[in-house]
Amino acid sequence: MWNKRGDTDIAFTIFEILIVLLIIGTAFQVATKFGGSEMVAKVSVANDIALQVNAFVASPGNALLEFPKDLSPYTIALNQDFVLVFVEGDSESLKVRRNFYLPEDYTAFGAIENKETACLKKERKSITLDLC
Amino acid sequence: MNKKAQMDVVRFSMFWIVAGIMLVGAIFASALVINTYQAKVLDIPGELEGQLIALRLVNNPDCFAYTDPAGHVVQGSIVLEKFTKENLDACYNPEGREGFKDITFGLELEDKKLRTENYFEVNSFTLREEVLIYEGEDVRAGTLILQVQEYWG
Repeated sequence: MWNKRGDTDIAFTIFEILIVLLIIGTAFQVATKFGGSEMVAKVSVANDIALQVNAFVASPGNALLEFPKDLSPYTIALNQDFVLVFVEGDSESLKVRRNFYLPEDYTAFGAIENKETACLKKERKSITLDLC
Repeated sequence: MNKKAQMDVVRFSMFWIVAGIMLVGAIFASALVINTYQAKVLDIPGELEGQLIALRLVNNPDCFAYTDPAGHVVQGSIVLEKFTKENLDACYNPEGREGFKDITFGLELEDKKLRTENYFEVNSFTLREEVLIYEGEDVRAGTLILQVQEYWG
């Protein structure tokens, strides 16, 4: 038969186990969020595109670049001043944005959604992101 | 509950309050370390970005580059008449409130000096571009010196 002291000990032990499980769960969640490759990949894609836009502007004539990465997990929007990379369901804070500055009269536009490949094209003063 | 049991409860609560604070702190510290490491790994060297942006100045005829009578662009060239603040702003203009967060330049070519918007002489590094300078019929070699400000503020 349990006495009161024994009841208290069991309650404490259960409480401790719950706390430890909660801490492990939280730590795992935080580690997954920050250590996950998705954010790294999004930043990498956004950086690549912004740098490539700058490289296109520095190249006289037309140019075409096929992206050597699988872009199917991402939605990529190329705008006049920035590129935005995100996955469906991302909140604003999880969308990755990289700015660039085009010369006057230049335009940049285009978007792809969950496509494996994409091409960045420069034709005269227009830079577009589109399917290849 | 007797006095011993009450003391146990107090000790237990105290332990978990302290342990809880320390564990939450440890989780946040780990998150911060991972985040910092991630940012470091993904950082693009300013020199690379600066160089890529600077190349447009001397390779793009919409900036300062020379186009020969056949219509070919001479890469690594500057038409001295084009080397003006108006052309620089038309070519690269990190204006607005956010512009100071991006790469800005102070340019020096012979005795002429230009600066982009949001350049406050907080230089991170210097780039040098060997260029051909076109002034009327005259062509000569020269160096475009670019003081690069990566971030201000």
